[in-house]
Parts: sequence; structure tokens; C-alpha cells
Amino acid sequence: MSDIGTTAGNGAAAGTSAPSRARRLSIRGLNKWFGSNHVVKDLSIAVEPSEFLVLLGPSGCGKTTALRIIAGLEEADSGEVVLGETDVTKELPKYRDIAMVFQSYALYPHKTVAENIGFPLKVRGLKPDERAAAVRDAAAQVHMEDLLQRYPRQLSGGQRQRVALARAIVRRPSAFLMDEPLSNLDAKLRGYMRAELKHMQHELGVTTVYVTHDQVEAMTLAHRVAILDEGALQQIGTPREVYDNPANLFVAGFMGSPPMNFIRGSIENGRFESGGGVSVPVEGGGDASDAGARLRNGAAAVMGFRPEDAQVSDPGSGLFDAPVYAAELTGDVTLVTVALGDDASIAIKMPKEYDVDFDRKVAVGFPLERGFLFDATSGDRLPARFAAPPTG
Amino acid sequence: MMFQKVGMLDTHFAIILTYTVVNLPIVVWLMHDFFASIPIDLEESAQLDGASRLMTFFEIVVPLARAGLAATTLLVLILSWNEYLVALFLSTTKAQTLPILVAGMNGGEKGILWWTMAVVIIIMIIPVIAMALLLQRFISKGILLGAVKG
Repeated sequence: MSDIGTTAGNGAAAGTSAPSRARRLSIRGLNKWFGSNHVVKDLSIAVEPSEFLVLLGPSGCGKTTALRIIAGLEEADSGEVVLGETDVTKELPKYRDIAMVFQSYALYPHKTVAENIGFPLKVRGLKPDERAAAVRDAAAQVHMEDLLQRYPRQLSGGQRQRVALARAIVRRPSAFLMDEPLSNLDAKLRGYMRAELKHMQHELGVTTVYVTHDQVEAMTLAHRVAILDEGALQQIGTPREVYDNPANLFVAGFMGSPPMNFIRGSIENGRFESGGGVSVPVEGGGDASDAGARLRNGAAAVMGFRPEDAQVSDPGSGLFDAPVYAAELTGDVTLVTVALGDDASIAIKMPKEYDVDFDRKVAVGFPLERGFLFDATSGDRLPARFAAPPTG
Repeated sequence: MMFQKVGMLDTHFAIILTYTVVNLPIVVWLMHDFFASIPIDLEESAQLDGASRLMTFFEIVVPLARAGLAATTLLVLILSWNEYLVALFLSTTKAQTLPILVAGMNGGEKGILWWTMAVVIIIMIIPVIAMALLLQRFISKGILLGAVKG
């Protein structure tokens, strides 16, 4: 009965082999307006066969709308959706060979688990005995074979989630769409289902587009992450790429928990200077033309570094000194927050043994090669590096 | 008066037509709410599962609206069954409804026929009760429970 009980072990038992049906899914130049609201802006993404792509962004960034356009539930104002070699932009959802798992699961409450899972086959005119075999297969894959005669209302959240998944896999679609499927589960179950989902996608090898606002889900599940903000694609790449090499301030601030620290300042005489006593020489990198212009005197810039790259030390020995605002032990690390100036706070991940009093002045430093520099107005990452040791 | 012109006074058809027209707004109004309470996700999901619009309607929407349909059916049945005024104008002998018949026993040279009236009224109640018993199994609450959200 328990969700967690039946876990691993027989995962491969029902595993149907050859994911030969996986197809490439591309969207090109997708645009969508709701009234005067431009919710999807010229979105182009190609999802490779069997790839797990996560669309990540804050709520209202257009990711769900993009997914609904792919599903055919929403019509794009311009652009096309191509599945394999077929342009399905104008096709009805039922002809697209795409399955979707809704955030709400959208189980049919008047049908049993077996009828729910079998519904896609029923509408395709499969005979009851063929259906039953396929349903058992799909149910086994999500470990629900014992609960086939139950109704959705008799199931827990995690079990409903599994039924929704089984209903999606039962007809072996060319692509899966998932709209925040884990957001209704409690934290523990979510972590567990995440692993299960990843394993299942790997086993089935179906091209998958997964929408979430949870960057941890995105990092852990995705082969590639596409980060959206205000309807526009900000960056697409492997989780490691977008984490280690964010293209702009938005991506840097969205990925990571806690997110990247930012210090606002400006470029003065080839140095990054900030009110909090931060002063670091900057080396303009690569093509001097553009970067040079952006690194001119007085240009507003933002310095960024990851909490886990930084460390706290005795005053005077780091990049800048600041009073401790709070130190929180989260279990595996101690999260130290220091106040820099009036409005900026900097988070640093320290070993869990570390402890420090409130308001004590400490120095904060980080390996300069791990720092990032952004253009404060456009938000773009600047191709520049911090040079030389800190001047404190 | 229109029925008089087309020679339909005192016919079943005239009464059926009139009651349909009179009750339709109530039915539409009530059923709109019942249909609106069915999550749109379910219909979208059915479409992605490959169902046509018609199939979605009959496989998903209608079963979920059953409680509403049953309640509305009962309501309209009782409204029409007990209706007096319209029937008074539209029917005389051939398509007389029961309320008219009962009212007709109230007076005349034999006086008020209490015994006959009581019998007819009891007979009149039976179909409504039977219908209510038949439909009440559809009016179960919580049919939508478990459709969406955990």
C-alpha cells in the first residue's frame, strides 16, 4: 500500500527494451501573445531523441505555455513544432503522438486505475484483452500492479502520480511532456519520485520535456536545461554548464541554492570597485572590442561568486570585511550570511563544524578564478576575469 | 393562442413543447455550473490521450456530470409534473395533466370529492418517488474527488 514500499528491485522486470520510437522534437521561432502580453518570445529549442530536457524558469515565465503549445492545447501565434520529420504545428493533440503528465495528474475520477491507464488504448480501439496486458505492463513499470481496481480517490498523492505516469507510458508515445509533475508531492516523496522518474526515462528512452520552477529538480533530472525568463530563452546547456558558466545575471541568480552572491559596483581604472571596500583588478578577456567598451571607466558592473566557492576567515585576510548577519547549520554545511553595505547580503557555505557569533567582523574571500563579472545594465556575462590577489 | 391557430390545443405535443421551452433556461443554467466544476485538465488530458471531442464528452464529461444531470432531471420533472397554470390553458380533455384533473374534482354537483382526490393524488406522487429513488444513486457526493491534486 505504501508508496515507498515497493521501490527498487524489479524496476527492470517490465522494462521493454529498444527505445526505437524516441524522436527528435524541435520547436522553432515560437511566439505566443495573450492579449498584449508576449508570453513566449521567439523560442527555438531542439530536443534530441531520448533526451531529457527541462524547461526551467520562475512562475509566469512562459514555460507551461510553451509546453502546452507543444502538446497542441494552445495554438502558437507563429513558429512551428516538429516531431521527428513531421510538422505537427497544426495538428490536433490526439494526432501528435505525445503524452502529457499534468501538474494535477488529471486522472479520470469515475474510472478505476486500470481504466485510467487503459483509456489511451481504448480510444485507439484496442480489444479489452490486448488492453489488459498493456495496462498490466505499464502498471508494473510504476509498481502499481496491485492497485488496478482502485479509484483515484482511494490513492495517495504519490500513487496518483504513478497512475498518471503509467497512463502516459502505456501507449509508447514519441515524446513525453511533464508539467511540474512533482510539485503536489511532499518533500520526501518528491525526492524519491525524482529518482524514479529519472530512472524510468532512462529505461524507456523517450524524448522528454519537463517543466519546473525548481532548480534542484532541473539540475538532477535534466540532460540539458533550458532556462526561460519572461518568455525568452536565457541559456540552454547541461546542468553543469549552466551552473558553472551562466550566460547572464538571471541564470546565475536562478541556479544554485542559495543562489550566486552578487556585489554591485563599477569599473574604475581597470578595477572592479564596490562600496563595501571591494576592489579587484579586472582583465578584459577575448575580443577587446565589445568587452573593452563594456569595461570602460565608470561602467556599472556586478561581481558574482558561488556560496560554496567562498570562505570566511579572519578580518583583513580576504576580499572584504563584513559583519556576520547570521550563521545557520543546515546539517551538512553551515550557511554564513554577512551583511555588505546596507542592502547586499552574501551567503557563504562553510563546513558544518564552523560556528561564529552574530555581528562579528569577518573577512570573505573566494578564489578569483571562480568569480564572474556581469554587465549591470544588460545583465550579460562579461568576458573578463579577476586578476591578481585581493587587496583587502 | 398560437397553439389554437395551428390546431394544437389539447394535444400532448403542445404541452411537451411548452414545458421544454419553459424549463430549458433553468436546465442550462444549472447544468452550466455542473459542467464548469469539471476540471478542464481532464478534458485536455483526454484529448492528449487520443480521444475525439465527442468521445471526451461522453466518456469523461457526461459521467462526471451525472450527479448534476440527475438532480436537474428531478427538479424539472417535479416542476412539470405539478404545473397547473399553463396546462389549464393548453389542455381540456385529451391531454389533461393530473393537477387539472384533481382541480376539476373540486366542485360540481357532487361537491368536493375528497376520497377520489386523495386517491388520484397518491397515484400522482408515485412516479415522482420512483424517479427520485432511481436517480438518487447518481447523486453521490464527491464523484470528482481524486481527479486533480493530491
